[in-house]
Amino acid sequence: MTGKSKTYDVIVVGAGLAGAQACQTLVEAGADVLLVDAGLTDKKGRQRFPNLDFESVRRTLNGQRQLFLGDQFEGIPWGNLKVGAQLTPPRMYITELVDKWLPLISDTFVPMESLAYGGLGNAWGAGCYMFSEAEFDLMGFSRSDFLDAYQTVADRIGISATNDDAAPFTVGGLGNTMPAIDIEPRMEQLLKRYYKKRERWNVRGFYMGRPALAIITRKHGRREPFAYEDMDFWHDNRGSVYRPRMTVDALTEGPLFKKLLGRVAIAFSEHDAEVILHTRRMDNGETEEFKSRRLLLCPGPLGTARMVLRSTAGDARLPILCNPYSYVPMLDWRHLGKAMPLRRSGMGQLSVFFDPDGNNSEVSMASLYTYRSLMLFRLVNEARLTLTMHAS
Amino acid sequence: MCQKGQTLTDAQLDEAQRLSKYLTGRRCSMEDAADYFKAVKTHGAILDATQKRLWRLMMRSSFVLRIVDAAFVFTSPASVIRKRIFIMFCVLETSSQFSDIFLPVNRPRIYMLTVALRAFRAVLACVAGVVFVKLMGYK
Repeated sequence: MTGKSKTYDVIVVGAGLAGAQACQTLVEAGADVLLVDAGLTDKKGRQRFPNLDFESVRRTLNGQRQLFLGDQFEGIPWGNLKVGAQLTPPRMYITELVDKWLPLISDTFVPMESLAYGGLGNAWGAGCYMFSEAEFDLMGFSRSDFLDAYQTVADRIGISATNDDAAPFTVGGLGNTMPAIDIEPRMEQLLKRYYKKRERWNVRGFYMGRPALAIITRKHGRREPFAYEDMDFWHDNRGSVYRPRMTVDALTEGPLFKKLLGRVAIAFSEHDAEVILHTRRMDNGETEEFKSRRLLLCPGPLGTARMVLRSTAGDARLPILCNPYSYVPMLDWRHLGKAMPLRRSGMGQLSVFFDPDGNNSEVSMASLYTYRSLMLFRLVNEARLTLTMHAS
Repeated sequence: MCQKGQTLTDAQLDEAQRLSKYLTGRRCSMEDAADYFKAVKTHGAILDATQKRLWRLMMRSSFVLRIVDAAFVFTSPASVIRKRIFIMFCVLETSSQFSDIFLPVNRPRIYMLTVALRAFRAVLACVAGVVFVKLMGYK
């Protein structure tokens, strides 16, 4: 029986990080679950990269232009890109059709949303963080009540981390983490310099360490350990970086779980013993309704706000608070004119946290990356440089 | 090395070669040149009458090409002229033939001096370019 006449135990809206984990928890508890998601995939199959490291691909692969720039040269960036400046052609599908189905009118607020199967988790930086005790206090919860849930999710997705100065701000206290991914020599040097004056930094509220990443460094189910090929922005051939669709795909093999893609959830209405979810088919625009005893909204903060406002609040207005972020290019002159190691990662290398109050409540953070596999042209587009390579 | 093909005109080939030479110091392949024009069309990097006049001058002289590119970095970073040069940059970076230029490699210590001199030359080119572009009446 599909959809309309059946009453599910739970309907989950959204197949991103939250939705996928919620589905697994519910299915493991014996619930009959329907997942509703837009579920866009990359129909052009643009992740056709071989299992080679970045330099080998660049030096040897014929036809690499089609992979790096896309069939229609859609990977050529131009001007000030407001959203998704780091999205490569194989990942561009994750923001497709957002303007049509999730329109947003604002001159100042430019969020990134996704209708992809697996949501923004298809291109996330894999950074893992737990709310702090102070943050839980502000929400009216106790952190200790959530530690089991954090551990469960960590065990499922596989997290690599180190118990260093960054740990209290990431996943400190969790067990079963894998060894952190190796960082580049220049980042090792930076970390050493931090440790030399560590106390002085800490007094000022600064802490530095390796990030906790949902990247496996040991085999984890069907997924292969991280191979340091520096192709993290281009393909997921080995499945080392956790993607929510991995969880949803695995659940699809079981009897209690059903996924329904190609639908955008619009609103819900609550009745005595059930909730009705109102959706719109993306192929023909027709509306469809599904019934369940419980409804779980996981389409991201904005998607959830949209649905709740449409369903319950009439023309009420909702304030949105958003942490601003910036990209700051930095140049380490000591490494000018030096080759980069072949074995490397394009993901976050170090994290810096600024906790002026020392209670992990009002924390600012910076992620340090080294730049190579996103290609020079992307950097040139963002920076004001003359284009000639011949000169340098 | 680029050879004359059936799908590109001599003028188009010359344009692609001149840009390739400016950006990398080397000539591009026929395939690179064809992809450059495909990308120019796809991205709508079409020159208007005023831009065409300036572009023709740039295609005749590598000096003019260098100073106008340098000037536009500050005066018109979003101009179609700069966009066309940028498109060729993307095309060349994604060619295995040019990977040795775009990938970081170990260089001798004297390299830092070279970079400093090139940066100084870029500043001079920028100043000369701004004057040239103004004299040309290009806004």
